[in-house]
Amino acid sequence: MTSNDARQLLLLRSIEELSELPLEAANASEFFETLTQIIMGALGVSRGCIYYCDNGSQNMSLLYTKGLNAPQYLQVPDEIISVKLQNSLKKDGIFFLIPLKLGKKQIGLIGLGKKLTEANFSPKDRQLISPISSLMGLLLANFMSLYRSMEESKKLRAENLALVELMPSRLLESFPYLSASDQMKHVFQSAQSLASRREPILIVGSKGSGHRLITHLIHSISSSPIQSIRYLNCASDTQDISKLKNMLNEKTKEKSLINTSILVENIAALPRQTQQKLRNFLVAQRKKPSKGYLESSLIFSINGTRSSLNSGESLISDLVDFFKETTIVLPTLQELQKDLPIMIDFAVSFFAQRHKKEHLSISLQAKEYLEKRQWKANLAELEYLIEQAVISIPGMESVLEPHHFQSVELKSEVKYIPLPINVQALDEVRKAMIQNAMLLNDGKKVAAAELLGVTRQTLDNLITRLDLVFSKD
Amino acid sequence: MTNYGFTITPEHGLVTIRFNGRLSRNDIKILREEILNNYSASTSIIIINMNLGEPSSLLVSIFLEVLDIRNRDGKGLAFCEMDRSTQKALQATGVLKYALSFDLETKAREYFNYDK
Repeated sequence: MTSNDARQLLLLRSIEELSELPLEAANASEFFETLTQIIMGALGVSRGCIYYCDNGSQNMSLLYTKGLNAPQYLQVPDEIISVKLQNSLKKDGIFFLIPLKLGKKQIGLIGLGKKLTEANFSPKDRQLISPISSLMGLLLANFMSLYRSMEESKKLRAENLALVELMPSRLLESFPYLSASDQMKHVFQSAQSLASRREPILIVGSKGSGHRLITHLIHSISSSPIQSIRYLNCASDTQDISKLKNMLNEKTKEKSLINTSILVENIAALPRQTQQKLRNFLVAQRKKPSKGYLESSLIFSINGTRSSLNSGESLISDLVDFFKETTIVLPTLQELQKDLPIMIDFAVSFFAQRHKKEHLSISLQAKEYLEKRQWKANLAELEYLIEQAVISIPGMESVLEPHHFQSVELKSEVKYIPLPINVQALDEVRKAMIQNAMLLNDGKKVAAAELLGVTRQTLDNLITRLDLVFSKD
Repeated sequence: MTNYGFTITPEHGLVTIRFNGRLSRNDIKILREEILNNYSASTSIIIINMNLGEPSSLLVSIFLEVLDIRNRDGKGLAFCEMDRSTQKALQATGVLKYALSFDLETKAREYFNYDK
């Protein structure tokens, strides 16, 4: 074996060493150092440095140097290392440059503090350097992308912590998703300034974007002594609608709503007449709050974006327009891209605690998967997906991986398949029910209809359709 | 040091490093810290027994670093029990240009007046 063969063997081993190098963004300096030392060791050089080029920039910044007084930045305007650049670096003790490439693009440079001549760097060595520099370029690019996202998330986390320190602790319980993006800061600031005013507040945001969370936040910030929050969902609960109607009626004050914070949800689902009453009530409250609801935070929420509501149904758009100064617009999850890492972290630890799986964590790949996911819905979807993954992960596993979320997604995508309904059988049931009801009420249609919970007209229609005949006596 | 792919045996003014086989990346990291923190200064004599050792780029870079710290004065750094390819690799990378080499560890110890 000649010295050349030995060096080539070492260069080949360095490829192996490079491929085993873990991309741990947590320890950047160690990564840069090891990357440089692998090539330094293979070429028998004790002094070296490594540079990285920012996206699209001609400036390369120094990442690591060993034994060299290497300049902090290098201007590399061309893809080819120019003679001018090589000469200028000699005064800094850098005698040999290896480009680090990602495809055809030069993304970095390794500088070595030793002149490599034909004697210690043969043409065969030169041939081996090419795949090594490509591999190093690929590793460096991947590492930098991981590092950047971690740095960005660190920065956000630091900003988030600074914000958290400014907040009284009771608010944190009410608003766990406090985060540092401009959109969320705006929401937070709006909530803070509106909470101190005694005017109805309108929350506009698409479904699942955190209407109740913001209500909690406003309730916590407001200085009122009220302890409870009441939710009136106009879309689903008839009891809630009757409570709301009582509240709107001056003569029948709703006791359960007096001196509470009230969130009236989904007002677009209300009958037009009630909507009109609610509008008048809110407008009156804005001008002069009525006694019973003096201490209350009156919050009403509408699902949708402000632009869609403005161009939509006139009464709603009128409300949106009238309360534009006291409106909080909730961003969608897609708009909160910067906050996603924090939200994911929070939700994982929150649901892990709730389901007594405190040891659970989330892998970088899974986090990346969630960050890149197209969120059709909002916060509610994020919470649902994470909670389901936390519930479904087997006991012996402790790290949430992309496949845990994918299996939840697959399950949720299963569409509701209606069972084939046997219309004839249903009609038979209807016939029997009507006959029984008529029998029990001595053939009196009004009483039978009441028993069946339908109107007299509907009962008549059914009797005709089902060809039922009842004697008049 | 045990439980790694190497052992370090310090004696009065002399330290012997032996390998148990190919070193992992973590082993190399620990070895580097150990040598640079405790033995790189020129006062200690280092004997590196390369029997069972396999030179890698990172290992060579440690040797070069020690030599650099000692201003290329390799009189206190000796390699021994190298096979031919290891010897050539250390020659090609310039390590043996400055350090001493012996075929047997006993000869290296004798050279430094140990085990006489």
